[in-house]
This record gives sequence, structure tokens and C-alpha cells, in this order.
Amino acid sequence: MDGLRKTSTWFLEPYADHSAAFVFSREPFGVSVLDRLTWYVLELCDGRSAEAIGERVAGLLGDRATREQVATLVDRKLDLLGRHGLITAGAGR
Amino acid sequence: MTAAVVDWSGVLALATGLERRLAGGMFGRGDDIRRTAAAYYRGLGVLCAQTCGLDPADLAPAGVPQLESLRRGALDAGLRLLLAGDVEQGRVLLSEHAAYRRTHQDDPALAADAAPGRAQPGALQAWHGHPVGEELVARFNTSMAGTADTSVVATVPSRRDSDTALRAAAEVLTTALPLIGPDVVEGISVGVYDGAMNSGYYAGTPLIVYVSERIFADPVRTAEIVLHESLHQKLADLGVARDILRAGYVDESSELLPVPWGGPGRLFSADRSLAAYHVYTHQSLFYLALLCRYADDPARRAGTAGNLVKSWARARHFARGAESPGLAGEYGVDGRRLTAWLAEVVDALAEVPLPGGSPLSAHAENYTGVSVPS
Repeated sequence: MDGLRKTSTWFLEPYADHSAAFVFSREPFGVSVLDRLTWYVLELCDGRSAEAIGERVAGLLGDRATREQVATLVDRKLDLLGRHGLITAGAGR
Repeated sequence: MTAAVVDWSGVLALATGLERRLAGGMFGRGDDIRRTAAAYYRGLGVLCAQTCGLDPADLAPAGVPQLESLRRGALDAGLRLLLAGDVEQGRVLLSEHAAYRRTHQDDPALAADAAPGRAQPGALQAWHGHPVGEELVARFNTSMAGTADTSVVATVPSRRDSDTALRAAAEVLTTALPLIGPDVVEGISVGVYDGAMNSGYYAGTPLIVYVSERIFADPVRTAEIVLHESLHQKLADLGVARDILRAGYVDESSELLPVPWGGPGRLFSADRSLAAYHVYTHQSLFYLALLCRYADDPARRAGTAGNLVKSWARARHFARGAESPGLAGEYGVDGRRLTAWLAEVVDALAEVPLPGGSPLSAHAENYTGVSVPS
């Protein structure tokens, strides 16, 4: 089964301090803002599975979050990205 | 009675520390705020061009201030139409802007206003009698129609006096606020007019501040007005990246804050209250810094102290208003952070002594200033 991938209907413009990024989406049309962690998760959607993304995020957060917390967080971010049409559905957990 | 001796060097140290605070962080770093707004309008130009089938070059950032102002205004208006699903009207509006831009973008008169090394803020040269300058003023006047202020402004020819006055004002601003002064006017152009209204800013023509030449005789007043109007641009830039107002905020149905100066029955919406609060907080610091420098100059001290009292009392009024549940509910998460951030500065100024020895807090309701012993 395919992993998670970005769609091709949008582009990013990062904030000057890279704390967040604007997302300009043609379909559905709109402008939104991604916080840095959601943006990071989006960048990881290059065909990886949600589990593989979770491992990278867990590495980033270290002991600030448990595995379960990371999994919940990543699921929430992926759900948000999917609802905005920024990623393909891909493999679930 | 002997006037209290004020430690002006201590007051100046406080002012310097507070200026550093207002020049930093997510609400203060001007360079980040400007570059983020530029990124937003760069992206919006591409998105609108793609959606409307236009040449992206026609909606790309313009190097000329007048055309960049009109571009951002057109993109804001176009975005509203596109978000409402009216793609056809959005396309018409943005196509008209694209055609207008193509007509004027190679005009050498406009290029002169984009020359590197121009003074900041500089008076626009392609202004009086120039179609693009007159277009900007027409839009500004249209925005004023239906407001309480029925002033209509008319461009005046570019004069050497205007540049001299703006340079003098920039010097005053930099002397008073060495961090914020030069930063806040970065990217700002001044459209000079003749009119009874001192100045104005219109979000539909961003990056341009409108200033009456009648104030130019007084460098301090000019500096205050340039600071005031440029801060509106800074707040507008913040608004594209931060949740300043709550989602779904509608100005016409906003909670209102009574404003006990400028005539009976004045009420400000949450948006307007925040804009005024942002300005008066910075203006308080501007006059405090000048007061420290004029401490040994009785002729300037009294007027400066009066302006400090007026600015601070008004800032404090908006600080307390922003804390009320009704108004606070109109702000987004970042808007509430912004009002709290400004309140720290307003509250830190409360015990600043005036030349007569009384603290600012003793004049909390002197919204139109106070006579301070010189």
C-alpha cells in the first residue's frame, strides 16, 4: 500500500522566522497557516507511512512526549493535512 | 513649594528597556513582520494568478511603492471575492489591476520613487497630477466617505520643503526611539496633501501614509504623526500572519468601547480600539523618551509632558478596555497576546514621574493632556 504523499495543488511560503508557513491552495481554494510541527509532518509525507512519520516526530520531541502521545499528535496532524487536501489519504495505521 | 527632583537618567533607562521590549518578539520585530507580510502577498499573487488564469508576472511584487500598494489592495479585494466563490468578479477585478499595472509600470516618473537610497520615509514624487498618485488619493477619499470625518484630501506638488520636513521628523523619531523609529518607517512612503485632517492610513492602499503638509512646521508633531500612521501598517502586516481578530469577526457588529475624548458618544470597535491602543502605547514611549532629553529645556518640557500624559492616559484606557470580556472576546488568540504585551508597557509607565513630581498614574483620566509645571 502507498504511503502518505503531498498533493500538487498547493505551495508554501514560510514566515520570515520559519515559525510557521502560509499554505496557498488552489483546490480547495484558500490560504491557511501551518504551525512548525504540522509543517514538519507535511514535509515528511514523501511516501512514508504514518508510523515512520511518528518515529521521526518522536525523535524530534525526545522525552517531551510518550510514544502514545506522539502517535495521537501525528494522527491529528495528518487528519488536518488530509482535510485541507494537502496530502493523499495513503496508508492508515 | 519646591518641585521634586526627577532622576531623568533612570527614567531614560526605563524608556530604553521598554523600547527594546516593543522592538522585539513576535509583535515587535519589524523586519520579520515586514518580510512575512511580503511572503504572504508574494504567495497570494501566485495563487490568484493561477486561479484566475492570469500571467503571474502581473500580480508579482512591484518594485514601485505606488504600484505595490495598489497590488496588495487588489489582492486583498480579489481574495475576498474568490473566497466567497465569486471567481468571475475576482478575475475581473484582478485583470483590471493587471492592465492598469502594465500601463504604468515602465513610467520613469514612478521609477524615481523606487530609487535605492531614498530617505525613509520619503515623500512620493509621482504624486500630484500623476495618474497613479491621484488614483491612490481617490481611493483614500472614497474610504473616508461615510465616516464621521468628511475631509477630502487633495495632493500637493512635491516640494523640497516636504523632504526637509520628513527628514527632520525622521531625526526626531530616531533620537527618541532609536530602535523603533527607523524600523517602523521602513518601506513606508508618504503622500503629502493639503487638508485640515492631519493624516490618515487606509488599509486598501497599504504602505502609503497620507500626511497634511500643514503639520510640517513642527518636526515633533510630524514625527508623532509619521510614527502613528506607520504603526497602522505594522499592525496590518501582523494581521496577515497572526490571529489578531477572532475568526468571523465583523467590524460593523463588534463590541464597542466608549472613547471619552474627541466628542460625545464616540465608540470604537475592537479592531479600531486595538489600532489606537497600539499607536498610543508607542506614542507614550516616544514622548517619554523626548521628555528625558528635554528635561533641562523648560520651553519644550511642558508641552512634551502634556503629550505624554495624553498618550498614556489614552493607551491605558484602551488597555483596560481590551481586558473587558466583551472586547477580549472579539480578539483571536494572538490578539489577546498582543493586548497583554502592550499592557505590560502601559502598566510599567504608570509610576513614571512628571516634571512636577506627580506620577503618570495620577493623570489616568487626563485624555486631552494636562498642564505640567515647566
